[in-house]
Amino acid sequence: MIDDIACRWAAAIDRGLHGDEDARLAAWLEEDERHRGALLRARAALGLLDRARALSGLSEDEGFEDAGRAHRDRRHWRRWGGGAMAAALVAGLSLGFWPDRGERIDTRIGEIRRMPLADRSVALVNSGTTLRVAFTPAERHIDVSKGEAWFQVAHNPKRPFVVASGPYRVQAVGTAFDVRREGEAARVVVTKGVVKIWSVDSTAPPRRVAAGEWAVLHPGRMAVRAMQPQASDQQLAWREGRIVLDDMTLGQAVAEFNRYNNDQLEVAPPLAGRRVVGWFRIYDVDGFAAASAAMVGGRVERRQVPGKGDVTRIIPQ
Amino acid sequence: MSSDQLVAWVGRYILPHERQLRIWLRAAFPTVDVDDVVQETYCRISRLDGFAHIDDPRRYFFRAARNVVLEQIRRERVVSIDAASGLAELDSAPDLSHSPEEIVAERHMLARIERLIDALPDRARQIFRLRKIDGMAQRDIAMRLHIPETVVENDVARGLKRILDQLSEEEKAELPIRRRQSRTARAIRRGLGGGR
Repeated sequence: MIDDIACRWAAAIDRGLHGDEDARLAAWLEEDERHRGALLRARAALGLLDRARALSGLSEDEGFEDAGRAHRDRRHWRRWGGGAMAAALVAGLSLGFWPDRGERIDTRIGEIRRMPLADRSVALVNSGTTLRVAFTPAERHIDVSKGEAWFQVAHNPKRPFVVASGPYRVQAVGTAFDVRREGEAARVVVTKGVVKIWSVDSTAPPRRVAAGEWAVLHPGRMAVRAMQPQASDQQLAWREGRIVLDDMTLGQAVAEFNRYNNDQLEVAPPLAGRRVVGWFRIYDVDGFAAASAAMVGGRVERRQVPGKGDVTRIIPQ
Repeated sequence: MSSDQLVAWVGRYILPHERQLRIWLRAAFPTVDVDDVVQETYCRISRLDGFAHIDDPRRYFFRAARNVVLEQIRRERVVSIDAASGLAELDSAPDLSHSPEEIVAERHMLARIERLIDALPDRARQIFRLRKIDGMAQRDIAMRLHIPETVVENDVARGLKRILDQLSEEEKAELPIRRRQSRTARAIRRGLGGGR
């Protein structure tokens, strides 16, 4: 519709405006910001029409076929990349075993493993995590000493499911939650049901944290907050091989990526505080680097650092 | 700067890349309304005070569109993975100013417009020919063809609309069937590989 009117004005300008048309055109342009853009485009096209014959003559398809091939190959490769990741997740699933008592699981950087547990609960273990499963008849005990895992707990009130992370304890009955160890602290996101959280270093009574809430545990204190809608899905996007950056600083985002990848990312200090948004595949370091550099107005630099391998830096332009 | 200069600049350096921009937008940001983004991008260009400082119009055009998408993304707070990778691709696009690709894009555009004019109804095609080849004004065309000036003007407006529509439709029709590589994408890939 806008384009219809824009084309009529373009034709009118082409023959020369008269009478009150100047004023009417001005009024139309005032009406909606987009009108200016539409008119500009229509007039530009009309100008091009006039030049078409004079300059044309090159066959349309010249030089395109090779490019097409390269493009398809690349796409293929990309799809393959995604497929490989999906396959890795599936493999994790099929290779997942029911650990015996005291079983220890270490996931490598970049590895996310899905582990069915002996009680039909499921643990999804994130990259770079050390986790020990110790099930007894009285208690299902899991220790996350490093990293992060999400648990979907089979209901069994007689046999509590307790995740330990340092001094912190998270107990669930039939529920789903995520425990992430961050240095001396831990973070618990509850996705379903209710958990009880306490610290063995503290005499404070356990706190109940329900689905839709998350708790941040530091030595000596615990903060429980409501999650924003969708936030738990975003924080737990790693379960699907994704990272969701929701208005995070670039520094935090880079730290997230470095959890999953051996090729490390660095960000120059002036850019570290800038905000970025987006969803990324966990292993797409290059894509993330380029996209976030674009978002903060920086650029990407790659170089070899002895002992560190390839380091990708996001630096000011 | 007069608006005529801007119109000429857009016709020469921006419009020829619109098709590539649309293809790129559609591939990189499957969830965005491409027409909407393109329209908003032209709107921004129409507010330009000057263009002398823009030495790579194609890149400028893509960046402006990218910024429109980015603002939508920030508003909606939810981005698809592909949206994010689209942002990545653009930033890796090499400078194409004054390159053969720039010139080819324009010629390519002109050749397509030529075909679109050929496909217009008889009278409209004749009017466009007279305008173009003989440089005739609408009034002279009306006299030559013995038709009212308003008819000429109507045909110009409708023909123009039709051509603009087809410029944006072609890319829609083309994508799912052939997925032919655009020059842009190739250049972008090259840029990615180059590790800029």
